[in-house]
Amino acid sequence: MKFLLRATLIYLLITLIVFGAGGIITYNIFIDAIQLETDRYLIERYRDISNYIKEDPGFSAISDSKIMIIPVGALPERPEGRRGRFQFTDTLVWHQGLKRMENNRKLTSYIKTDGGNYKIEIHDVIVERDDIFQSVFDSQTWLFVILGVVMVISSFLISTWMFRPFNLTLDKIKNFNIKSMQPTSLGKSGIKEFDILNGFINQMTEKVSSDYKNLKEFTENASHELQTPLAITKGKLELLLQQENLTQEQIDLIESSYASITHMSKLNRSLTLLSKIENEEFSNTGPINLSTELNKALDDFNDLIELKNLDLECEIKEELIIKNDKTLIKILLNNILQNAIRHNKEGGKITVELSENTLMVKNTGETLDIPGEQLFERFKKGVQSEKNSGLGLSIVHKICEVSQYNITYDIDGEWHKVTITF
Amino acid sequence: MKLLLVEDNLELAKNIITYLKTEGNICEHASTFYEATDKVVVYDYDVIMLDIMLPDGNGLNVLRELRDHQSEAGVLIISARDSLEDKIEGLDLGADDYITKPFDLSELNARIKAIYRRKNFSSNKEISFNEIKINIDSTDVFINEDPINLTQKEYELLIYFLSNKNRVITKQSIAEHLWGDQADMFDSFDFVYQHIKNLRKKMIQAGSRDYLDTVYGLGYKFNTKKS
Repeated sequence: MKFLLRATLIYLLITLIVFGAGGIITYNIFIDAIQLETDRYLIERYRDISNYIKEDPGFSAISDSKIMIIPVGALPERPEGRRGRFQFTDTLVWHQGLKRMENNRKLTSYIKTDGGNYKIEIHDVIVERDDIFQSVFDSQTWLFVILGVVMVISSFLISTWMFRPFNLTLDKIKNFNIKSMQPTSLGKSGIKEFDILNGFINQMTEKVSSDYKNLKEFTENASHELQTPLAITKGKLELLLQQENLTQEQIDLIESSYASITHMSKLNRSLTLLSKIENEEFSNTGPINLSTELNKALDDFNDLIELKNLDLECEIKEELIIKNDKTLIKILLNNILQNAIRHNKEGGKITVELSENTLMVKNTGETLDIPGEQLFERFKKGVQSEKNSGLGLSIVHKICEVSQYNITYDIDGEWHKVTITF
Repeated sequence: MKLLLVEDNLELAKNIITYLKTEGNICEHASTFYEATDKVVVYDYDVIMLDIMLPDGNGLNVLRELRDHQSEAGVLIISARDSLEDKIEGLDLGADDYITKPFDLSELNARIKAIYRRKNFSSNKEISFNEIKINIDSTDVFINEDPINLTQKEYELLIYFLSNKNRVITKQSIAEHLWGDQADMFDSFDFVYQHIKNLRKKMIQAGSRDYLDTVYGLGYKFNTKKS
């Protein structure tokens, strides 16, 4: 829900409560005012009548439909707690015009004259509570409806006009790509809060971009800088090997140092490759004939498959074209096949299937009791071995991630199955 | 061969020069871009090994310099960066090959010789050693003038050995030479052993001497002193 819509709704809810309370108060004030006014009017009339009676002592009884003068014997005692001489009551009186009982206000008082004592009752129609309630309710409702409509319209106008700079900012953030290393350059909007926000965002993206750049440069430089000393050490060992009269013990020492150096440089290379893929440096996207590439890769591995006495079964759909970077796809295929061969057992089996949108490579291997997906993690090895880096499948996984392919690794007994869905 | 090594790292340069000089090559060294351009303008070299990351400029500019002077030297780029763009740009500018650090000295040596052979096609289309003769053009191999039938890998292996005579070559280096990046999948180097065994058998059967020594646990050596 949009901020302004929600704010408007909450505001309207509060208004509703206030209007309700306001209605009750208005209603009570109306009632009080009307009653006061009616009472005052009745008293006025009473004064006229009492003057009239006092001036004309011969008068015996007047009766108009709204006045009753009844001669009484003794004046009653004034009851406890009554204010003044007048007693006001609400009563129902037959209304001739409307043909029904109507709410009336009645004044009762006693008067003492020379001609005797009288009880005077004056009543008049009073505005009914129902009517007052209805009017108050109607007017409050109309006010509320008008306010609501005005609020909704104005919130819409505000969101399009006042929130324009904010929406611009949102757009810029959405389009911000850390890899382009271009900080957002948000301008002044003229609204203080938005300007502060834009300032923060500019600062943040600048910082993020420069951090990213530094990190990238560091990774690149670190791996390049490592290659040179590795090359030196490797070279020295190779020169050492050329010395005459080395003992077998010396040869063994050199051999194991040499193997470690080789391993280290391969690790380094794989890590660099991983970060390159992560940085999406392979973005030379174009159509690739996956069938051809797969056949080529299988050809390259033919030697090794034969040497390990593996039984290879292929079912490759011809002329399958996908769009991606050629180098990435080569690395992907190489790593998957390499994995299937390396972790295979002597005389084992490999099945390669390429269909419309799936590549499946199945191979026999050791039974592992870890979930297959874990093999995608860096340095996770099914079988601990010095010789392999534990990065091959991480690279495959990373390539699938940047290419938005779905990849799964299933282990079923001795069968290992990698499935990639394009 | 007259070689020039353009490399700013002195220790690495020392390794390379030591390795290459033992075969009677002349190997000069330049450690800066400035020094390198100076040398390539004045002298002629057969092969130039060029590190493209130099402290005072991109080594690729040395290539431009060479091209401008219509130099006939072969160029092998040495780079710490395994970057396709660098490779393509270098080869576009007329480099003959590209090798990534860290490399085996035996591999470097083999590559230099391959470049040299390509550059001097007319005079050197054959590699021969005693009874062994290889025609580079047709990839035919002869022992005592009789052709023998080698597989692609065995052929590559033989040339690799002949490029690095009397050197101990490690199994790793051989595997990498034959299978490139895929070589890191060798849990054991039995595969290398298989190929060497086959090559040796074929050569001996054809009447060649057994030049291949096994350096136990480490690798192999093409020993020319066999008689």
